[in-house]
Amino acid sequence: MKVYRISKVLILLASLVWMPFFSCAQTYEIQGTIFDSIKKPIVNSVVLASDTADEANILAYNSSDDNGNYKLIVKNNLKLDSIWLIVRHISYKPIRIKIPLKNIKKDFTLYSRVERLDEVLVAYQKTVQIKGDTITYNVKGIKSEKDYTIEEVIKRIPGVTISESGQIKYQDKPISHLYINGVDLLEGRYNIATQGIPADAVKEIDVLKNHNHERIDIGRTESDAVAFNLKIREDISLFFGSINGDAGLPLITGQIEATPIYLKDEYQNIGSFKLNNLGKTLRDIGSDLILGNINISELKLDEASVIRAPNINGVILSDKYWLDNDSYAVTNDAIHKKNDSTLLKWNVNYLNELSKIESKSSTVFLSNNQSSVVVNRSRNELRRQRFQAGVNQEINKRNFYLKNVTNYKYADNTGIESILLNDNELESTYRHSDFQVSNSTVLKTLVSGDNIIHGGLITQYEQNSEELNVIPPVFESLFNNNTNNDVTIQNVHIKKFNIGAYATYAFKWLNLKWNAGQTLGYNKFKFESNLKQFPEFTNESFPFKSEFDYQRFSTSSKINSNLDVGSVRFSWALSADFITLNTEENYDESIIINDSYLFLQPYFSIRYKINSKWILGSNYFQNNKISDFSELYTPFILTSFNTLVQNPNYVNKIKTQSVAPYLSYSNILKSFFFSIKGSWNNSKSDVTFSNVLSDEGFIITDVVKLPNSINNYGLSVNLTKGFLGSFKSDLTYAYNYAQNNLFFNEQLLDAVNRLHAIDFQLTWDSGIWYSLEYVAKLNFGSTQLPNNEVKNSAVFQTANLDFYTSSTTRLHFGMEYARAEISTSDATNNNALFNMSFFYKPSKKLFLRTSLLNVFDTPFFTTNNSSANYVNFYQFSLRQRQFTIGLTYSL
Amino acid sequence: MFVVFLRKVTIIVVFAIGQFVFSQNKVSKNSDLRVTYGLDFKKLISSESSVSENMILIVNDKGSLFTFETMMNLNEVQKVRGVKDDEVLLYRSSYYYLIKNDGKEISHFEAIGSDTFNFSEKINSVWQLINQDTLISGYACKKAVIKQAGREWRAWYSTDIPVSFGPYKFYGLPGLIMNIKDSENIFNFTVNEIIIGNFDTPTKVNNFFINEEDRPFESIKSTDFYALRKRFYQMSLNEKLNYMNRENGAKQSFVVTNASGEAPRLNSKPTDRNFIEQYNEK
Repeated sequence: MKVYRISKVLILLASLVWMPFFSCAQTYEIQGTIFDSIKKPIVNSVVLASDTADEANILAYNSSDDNGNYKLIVKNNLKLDSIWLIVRHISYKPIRIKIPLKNIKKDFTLYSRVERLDEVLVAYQKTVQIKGDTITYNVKGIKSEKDYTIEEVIKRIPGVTISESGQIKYQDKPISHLYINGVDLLEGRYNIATQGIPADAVKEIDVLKNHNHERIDIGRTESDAVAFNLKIREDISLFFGSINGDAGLPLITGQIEATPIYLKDEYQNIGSFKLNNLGKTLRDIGSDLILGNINISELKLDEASVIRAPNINGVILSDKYWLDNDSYAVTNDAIHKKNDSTLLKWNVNYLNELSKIESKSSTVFLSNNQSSVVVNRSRNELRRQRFQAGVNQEINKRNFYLKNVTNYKYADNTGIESILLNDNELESTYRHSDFQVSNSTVLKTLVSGDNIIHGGLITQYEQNSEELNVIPPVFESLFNNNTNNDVTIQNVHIKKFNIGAYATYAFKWLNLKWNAGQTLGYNKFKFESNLKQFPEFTNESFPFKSEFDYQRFSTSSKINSNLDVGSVRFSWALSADFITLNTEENYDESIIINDSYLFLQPYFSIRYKINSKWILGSNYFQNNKISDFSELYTPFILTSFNTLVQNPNYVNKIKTQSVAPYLSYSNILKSFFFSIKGSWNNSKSDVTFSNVLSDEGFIITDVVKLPNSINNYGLSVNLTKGFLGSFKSDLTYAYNYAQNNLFFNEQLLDAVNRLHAIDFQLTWDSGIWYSLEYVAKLNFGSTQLPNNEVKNSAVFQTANLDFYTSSTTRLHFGMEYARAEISTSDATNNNALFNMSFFYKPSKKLFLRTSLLNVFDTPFFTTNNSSANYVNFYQFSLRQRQFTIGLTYSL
Repeated sequence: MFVVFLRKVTIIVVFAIGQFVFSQNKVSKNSDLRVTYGLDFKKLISSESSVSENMILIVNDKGSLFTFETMMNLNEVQKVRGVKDDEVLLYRSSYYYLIKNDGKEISHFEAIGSDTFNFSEKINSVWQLINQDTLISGYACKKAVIKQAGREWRAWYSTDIPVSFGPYKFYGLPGLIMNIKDSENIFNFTVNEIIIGNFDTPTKVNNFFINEEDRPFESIKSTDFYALRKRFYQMSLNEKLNYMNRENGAKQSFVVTNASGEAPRLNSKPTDRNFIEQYNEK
């Protein structure tokens, strides 16, 4: 009974406690429609109910439907009399009202925001942004801790490769322009900027695909050019740049580089000073890294020497291991932007570089039944000096383009070769000085609506002197004298004048786009040479002495077009080339040429895009050309200490035909790319080269009037696969087969050269604490004559391993390994070279490094190659072990 | 004198018209949202560290569209021309999906290997609002939690940006979702950028995918899709190659050696991937 009573009391108490909740948890419906000021319903407005004005506690919420209707169901747990109702939409001013809490129908009218909302509510910098043909990379996003210059960051952009000279290629094609804040200050000499601008000074890099530099071409001419634009950070001062230096052992090995940069809207200036003796060549400073105007390039004079400069180059290995140099270079580039479309630019640069190398070359020359070996040990050095200056003006408007460029160049190269040639000691000294001045003008304008007419004119004058002295005298038997001489001297002086013009016109005919072009060129050269034995024998007659006049007038008319039929594209071109040639040897009146030539040069290609994965195609061209200037002067020329050359007194016509079929497969989804390319080249000429090699290793090169045919067959297979995100592999196999006829020691040889080349590259970098890069090249070659064959093989591997030991430090290990074998020798040459470096970046402006190069002090490197009827074993000296400490400081 | 007056009048009229046109544009311009979310996620079940992707949410009157930034860029290109081989790497992402939400139904488009599928779902998002505040990118945010797709999620939303849509298939809150992550911290979406402007939700979804033959999406039941996706990502690399090339009939094999001379394990089963949906699929 007592228990029953207690239970009743408890139930009563519980009822009293819970009663307010049961009795007050009523539900109310608030509904209505949301309109704008013209009574149009507003979709997706957010309506919410709260018990407080600050919306701390949301009682109910909903969105308006397609008709602007909303409905809230509010449970009144808190026994409220009224609630706050808030209505919001991104485009309208919000409404906040207090209403009694009951079932109610409430419509709202929202008004457009008078104050303008910020377009960007939350800002964020993306790593990559794509807008049409412009891909913008945020430098912070792609920069690695180890990157110091902007060149190192550019290298990280997918599809970019950068050569040792600093030339940037995008998808294997050199870029057309490098702009800084949209201005092309450096023209093709952009490595001054890319190697001097600190990565931290650049905010973004634009990759401009299908780029037209000339505004007149935009929307009128298709382009496949790619340009880069560096956008400098706004908070960088007008004057900035970088300074870096290294010093170390052996005493004193080091470098200093300074790149002061001044950027203002209407005026920009970039200077650079570089000095080093640690194996870093500066010869590409000031040289043009872009393709430029192809029409002007084709009309320019070739920069060819008559006498060969001493060889100071190693091969395969990176320069840093073998280049023994003392180099310094100073450059300055300035631009004045007169207005948005008119620019005026100046540039000057000076280079002085001394390079040395010791080498041993063993060359096996094959003839039908025997082989001869020439062993050449040499110690060479070459000093190059070059001064260049240029001014150019550009007007770049939507319907008009004009560019005028004037360049001056003076170069002076001197060298010495100390030679032991098959036990004969020789010393030769070399000198080459060259002065050039050129002016070119390019013009583009519109005619008959939107058709562009494009023309240009170039004038050039060049004067050069070359000299080679060889002690003791060589080729004495040729001079047919018995006097005692000390030295053989070869002198050459050439004056060249060149003027050329071109015009191209793009038009539509028969529903096809056509391009017509006309080129005119005139060359007038004066060539003087003298080969003498000094001091006692100087022959003032031909072929020892020569005064040769050369004039060439050429015109070329070309037309090309293409036709698309479904997935097949046919392209064709035809050019008619007319050449008039007049040459005269003043020391021998019988040597004279007055001839004219007319050639038709066809080109045809077909490409069938089977589907988006498979592409099949082939192209064919035929090209006819005649001997150029370097093949027409007829005196004896001592081109190097052991080579004497004499050109024939007639014009050689060379006809080349080429067929190159290809098939490519690209599977996008599987990141798998495959291509196979074949090639056949046949080159027919009226002459065959004849080399006579003496037992002492001296070569006389002559030309015999005997038709000659060279056949070349090639096959290359490329396979690229990227998987697991950061793992990328690339495999290329190439096979080349060449048949070649030549005279060697008065025997006609039929030489066959085969080369199998395999390239494999693998990279692994997923942004974790290490990265790896591995490259392997395998070459297997052979030179075969009917009764004689030599095989050679070479393996070259490089590996680079980086450990990111902390956010400010990095440890680098590098290895370059080579193995070379030749069938005529039992010896196998193995060389492994190691380097290691440590980098420390304590602040954004300061970068410290220490490096050890050629860790095991390896003295020589050996490799081999084969061509025509010879196989060459080449061994060259390396820089001794080197330890340096250095720093880079950004201004 | 009259000419000067006329010129002044003309200038005033032109200016006024300019203002009118400009103000009209201003209203229509500030109507849609483009939100960039950074997604940090653990790709594999065994992953300890996260990888990141940028994802885009477009919100307008018609609803929302959510996909990877790379797929959005691909759409921009494919609207005007076909994608070139050398550009393919630019458009790679960890997954290939696109979610459209018209407020009533959610459409899911996804590529698995070389196939593209789509299905529709009705998701009843029942959020539990929590009275907690925080600040994200300068916006006051409130907390909400939900159980969805087999996981427990915690979201921070801002009523100052009054849209009910969010990343992936999350919607139905009284403000934009500024951050949402699951209880195991495998998927974490955070707002990186918000832009107001005019943003369409394109109707041609094919442009977002590398679908070379422009084949239509294959409609499939959602449960079948999740099972198929799970099975595909459990395949070895060689099995995937053969599966994707099954129409060609040829058996694919790929041999390459790595730096140490070892062949990559093309036939080994990969570790299971994480997906937002954590159902017990077939």
